[in-house]
Order: sequence, then structure tokens, then C-alpha cells
Amino acid sequence: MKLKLFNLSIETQDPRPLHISVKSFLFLVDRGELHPVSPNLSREFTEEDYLDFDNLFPPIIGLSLNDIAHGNADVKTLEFNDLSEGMYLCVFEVEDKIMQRKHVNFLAFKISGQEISKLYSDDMYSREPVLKRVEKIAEIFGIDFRDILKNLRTIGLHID
Amino acid sequence: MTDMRIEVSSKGETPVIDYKSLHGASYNTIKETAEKVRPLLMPRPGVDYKIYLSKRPALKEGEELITYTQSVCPECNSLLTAAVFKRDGKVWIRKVCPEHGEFEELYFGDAAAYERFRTFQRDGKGNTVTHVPLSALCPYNCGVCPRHKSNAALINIVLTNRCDLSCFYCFFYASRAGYVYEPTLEHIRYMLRQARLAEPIKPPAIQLTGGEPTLREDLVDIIRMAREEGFTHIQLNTNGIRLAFDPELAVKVRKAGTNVVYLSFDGVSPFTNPKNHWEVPYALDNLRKAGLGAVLVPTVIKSYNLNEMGSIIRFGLRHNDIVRGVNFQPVSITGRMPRKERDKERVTIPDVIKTIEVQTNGQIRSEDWYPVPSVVPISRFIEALTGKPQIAFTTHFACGAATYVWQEDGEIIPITRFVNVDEFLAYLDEKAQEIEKGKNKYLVMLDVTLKLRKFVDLKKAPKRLREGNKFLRILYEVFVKHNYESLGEFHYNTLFLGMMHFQDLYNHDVARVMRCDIHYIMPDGRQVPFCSFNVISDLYRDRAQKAFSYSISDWEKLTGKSLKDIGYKRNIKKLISGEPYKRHYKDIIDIDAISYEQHVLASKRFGIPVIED
Repeated sequence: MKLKLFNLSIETQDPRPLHISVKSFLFLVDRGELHPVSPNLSREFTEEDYLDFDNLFPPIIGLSLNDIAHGNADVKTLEFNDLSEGMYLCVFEVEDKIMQRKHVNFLAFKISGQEISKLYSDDMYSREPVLKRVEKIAEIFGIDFRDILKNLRTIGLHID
Repeated sequence: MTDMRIEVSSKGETPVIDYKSLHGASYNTIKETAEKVRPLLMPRPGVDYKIYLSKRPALKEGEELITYTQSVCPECNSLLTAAVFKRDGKVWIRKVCPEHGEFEELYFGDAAAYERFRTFQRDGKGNTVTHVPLSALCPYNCGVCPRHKSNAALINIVLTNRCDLSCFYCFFYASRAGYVYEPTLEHIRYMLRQARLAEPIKPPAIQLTGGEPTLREDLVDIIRMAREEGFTHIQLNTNGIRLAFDPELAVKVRKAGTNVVYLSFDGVSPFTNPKNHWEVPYALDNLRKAGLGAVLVPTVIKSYNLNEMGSIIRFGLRHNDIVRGVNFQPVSITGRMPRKERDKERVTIPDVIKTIEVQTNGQIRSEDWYPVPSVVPISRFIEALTGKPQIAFTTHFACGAATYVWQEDGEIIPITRFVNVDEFLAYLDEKAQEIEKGKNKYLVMLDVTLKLRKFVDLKKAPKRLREGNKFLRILYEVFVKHNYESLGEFHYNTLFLGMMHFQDLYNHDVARVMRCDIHYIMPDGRQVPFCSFNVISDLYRDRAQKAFSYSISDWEKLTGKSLKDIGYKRNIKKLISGEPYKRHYKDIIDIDAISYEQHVLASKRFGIPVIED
């Protein structure tokens, strides 16, 4: 199964000031633990990625292709080409440089055959503290939430 | 399922349903049919449009880039990259289609106003439950899709494409379209439920529109149904002809639950408003008797009625006992039109605002107007305080503007004369942020209670808002006690002035579409932003409505009526001699200076026949 994630940095003034960077990470749940998954390829963002981008980011982060068109954007496509069956966690580290605020959003999904089904997704209304959300995801995965926190620390995200 | 047939032509074109087989069908049958047909009605890549995003239009000397965006080709609907730029103090949009060449259009008539409005832009959080999966780029995926940034604040529903008028510029009405679109009651219920599907914020308001919705004999049942399905604010969009001649109709629609009538009103003279100049006074009188308020809706065209903006406002203020507002709509060019012709018609929000300043002798100034998203701090504050998601008017700043005015001793008083709107909105934003960051909300409310008066200069307010500190009491009720009923007191004898510039194929901007908060609910259950529904009408409005339509002969057989019989014939002699006509236009126009022949010519030129008996 193939999957695309995106790293990006975007700065716009119109229709509103926006200066945001997003780093994406993927983890596989295996034998009760999270394991980081590296992309097979990191490359420039092209037309073939537009729909994948819009499928991923608007509900979770509120950014879409049109926002990219509006500003100076540097987008990298991360290709994961051979994902095996199992449960996965996407972690998006979002830094809002105007508000001087960092936050983390999550998307959990399951690959079964040729199907991807969503298990959990943050959205623009998610207000719960990150620890609560991590606990919720850990429960869905049937793992210890501390294992998620440990893995988040490996990518520089320290959540207390 | 009933014996419903879905026909798909051999050319692989869009489906056509034998709608008479759905006449009398159950809710479930309609729902199943709509869901089955919906995917077949979606815009088809490579067939209905192509994607040409790789090339950015070049800027020319003297042009300053504002931003790039996406837009459609006016000829083939394909997606293009467009540049929005400044030139000569105005804002323009340019796009280049590899197949059809360059298109340039005025986007906003004043670059300084554009920048002022932009400072108010806020984005919404979209919907967590949407109607269609994401399968195409914006704007070919409308339904609404997960990409949409705003919640729908107002739903439009077309009840019929029949109309008693045959305006020369309209291609929508049944006899010209060649079919009758008139969903059954159960079909309307399905659409209403689809409209309320969105989460976490359901649209509270609905506008019943057409065609001419008052032609439906079951209009009252539809209004009641909209209430049953949860809509708390119901608008009836009409040309007012039936309301003018049927006082009972006004009473019935009000009792059924209509809150306000949106009344087409393009000018004060027969030459600028040949659609309903003669009938409006009678319609207003009947609304007055029924206690049902009206909002006048002028479509503004540069070469046609821009000279009457001030008079329209004066007309609204004069009849402010029943006219609640004027909602100006700068023209949206219908179909394809050469640049020269467009330039004669094109007018944008700042152009109308400047004209109003001139025509009211500076009583309503440009800075009195605020873009729609300027009110977002109000909903943000209430959301922070209550913890409940609120409707936020996060449309694009170039889509609309508004202000409030009162009249006292012949003088027009805009709200900005006695409220420091900028400071008040900034204060609410700051307080919302404090609550969001965890500050005790009771401490914040105490601060609001103490500081509210700081933003208001009551000495300059209209008398009725000054008396007994009424205005401050209203603010206190709304922002501290969340008693929104007091807003009714605020709106009494207040004239809301709004401006909504719907897009067209030439100034179309995807950034505006994806922030739209006025949506149409379609017969296949999709909820489509206004400017996709009406701008890319062949892929949305016309395709969906045609699929769920009767042939004219089927409709005539089914109802025993003839489409031709509904055409309105105007008795000008009778109308202009009536007391309501003279009373409403006295001192607004020189009634005696217009000859009967001129009246007749104005009506006939527009396409409405005149009778004498």
C-alpha cells in the first residue's frame, strides 16, 4: 500500500497572514509498540500530489492546495511505497510562527488488504490537551500511552 | 423502490430521471434515488474540465502582485492559476487558458479598501461531517467537501424554476430552460435534512428561492417543514408580485414561520426597476399588515442603476417601519460576455460604497462599511464563553460588506458614529483569546461589563437607542447575559445595509469559493457553495436540476395547468393611480414627470406585457 505525507513551510499575506511549518512522521504499531517508518522517497511537490495533499491536510490542519498557491511555499512529498497491513499513526508537528505556537495533530489508520480505514483523526475543533488525545489513541491501538510519548520524544516532541 | 427510471444517454452524458415516477414517492425512495444519482452528476475530469495549473500569468509593467490563486476558464471551466494584482489603485485578476487565451477582470475597485478589508480576514474551521468524499480539486468537488473552510450560515433552496416574469436576461425559468424543476414535498424534506447534515455547526437559516417560490401552492407547507427540520430563520426570496395582490399570502407565510422577505428592488424608478417598480408599494403594504419585514435586494449594474444607490437607501429609510435592510448585489455577469460589454456593467463592492458616499452627501462614508469576516470576534468570544461551536462568518473579505444606519431629523446616522467598531472588535478578540488560554471566564465577563461603555458614545447615538441607556443594555444582554432576544430591539427601526458580490466566470477565485458560507442544497443532496452553483452552473445547478425535472408536457399533464398561463400581465394604469404607489414614491421620485407611455415602454422593454383592463 502506498501513502504520501508532506513536510511544508508556507508564508502568505493574502487572504490572511499565514506562516506555518508542518513536519509529518509515520509510525507502525507492531507487537504493542510504535516503530518509526521512514519514507522511501522525499521529493519535490508536483501536480500528481495535489489531490493527496487536499485529502490529508484540510480537515486536520486547515491548509489546502489553494493556500499553497497563495504564498511562498516549500513542500516536500514523502512517499511510503510498501506499507504492510497493520495500524499506523501519523504525527503532524505544526508550528504557527505568527502566533508563536506549536501543536501536534494525529491521524491513526489501519491498512487491511487494499483498504485504508481511519481509526482516529484530529480536526480543526479538537481542543483536548495532547496527552488526552494520546491516551485515546493508545486505547484504540491497545498499547501503553507512554510508548507513544516515548516515540514522540525521539522526534523532538516532549509532552508532559 | 418505485418504478423509477434513471436514463443515461448512449453518449455517456449525465443521467436524466423520469421525475414523474418520483411524484408521490416516499422519503426513502427519494433518498435512495438521490444517493444513486449523485456520483453520476459530479463534474468529470477530462470531460467537463481540465487542469492547467503549471503556468502562472505574467505581470506587466506598472502591475504589483498581491497573490496567486486558482480560477476557472470562462470558456471551458478548466482550472487555471490566476494572478491577483494592483494596477492604477485597483485590484485585478488575470488568468491564461492554454486553449482560450488570457482573461483579465476587475476584482476590487479600490486597492486601499482591499487592504483595509483584508485585515479583518479570519478563517473558519470547516465541517467535521461533510456530504461528499474528496475526489477532485476545488471547485469540482463541491457538495460540501472536507476542504471547505467555512460553515454554511445560510442555505438556499430552489423550490421551482417556474416564474411569473420572463426577464430578458434570465435563462433559468422553466419555459426558457425547457423543463420544470419543482421537487416534491418529500424531496424537499430530504434536501432540508441534507442541508442540516453538517457538523458540528448546522446552518440556522434558509432562503426559499426560485424561479418564483410564491407560485407553489404548497409554499406554506414548505415553510412549516423548514421549521420542523430545525431552521430557525426563514427567508422568502420573491419578486413580490403575488404578495402585492394577495394580502392573505403575506399573513399565511408569516404565520407559517417566515422571518423576512427578500424583495428584488433594483431602483426607485420604472426605468431602473422595470421588474417590480409598480408592485413593490402594494407588496410592502401587505407585508406591513402582516407584520413581516422586508429586505430590499438591488442588483447593481454600472451603466444601469448605479445612479440610484442613494435613492434606494432613502426609500429604505422612509419605509423603515417594514424595510429592515437593503442588500446590494454588485452584478455577477451571467454566461459569457466580451470584455467591452463587461466593462459597461462591472461594478465591485468599493465602487458601490464610494457611490453611496457621494449620493448620501457623505452621510454614509466608505469607512462606515466593514467586511463580513469582521464580525468573527463576536462569535469567537461567544464560543469561548459558552464552549459551544458558533456560526462564524468566515467568508472571504472580498465577498461582502455591511453597516447599520438610522435616520433622525433627516440625518443618516451610521453605527460607526457612536460605536468605535474597530476597538470593540479588537477587544472582543482579545477577551476570547484570554478565555481560550484558560483565564477565568467570570473575570473576563466582569471586565466586559465594566468596559462595554468605553466603546460607545451615547451622545451621538440615535435618540431611541440613547433613551434609558438602551444601547448599552442591549450590548450587556448580548455579550454578558447571552440574551439574543434583545437583538430584536436593536434591529427595530434600524436599517441594515449589506453588500454581497457573488462571483462570475471572469472574477472567479477559488479562495473565495472555499470560504463561502451561503450554500445551495441540490436535489441529489449535495450542498454547494453559491458561487459554484451559479457560476459553474452547467456543472452544478443546471445538471442537477435538469436531472430531477419534469418535461413541460409531463408537468402540465400532472397539474392540469399551463406554463403559459402563469405569465404576469401588468395593469400599469391601475397601479400608478393607487394611493400606495403615490405614498411610497412621494419625494423619492417625481411621479408626475413620468408619462404613462414611458411606464409602459419600461415594462415592455423588460419583457413584461401591459394590459389596460
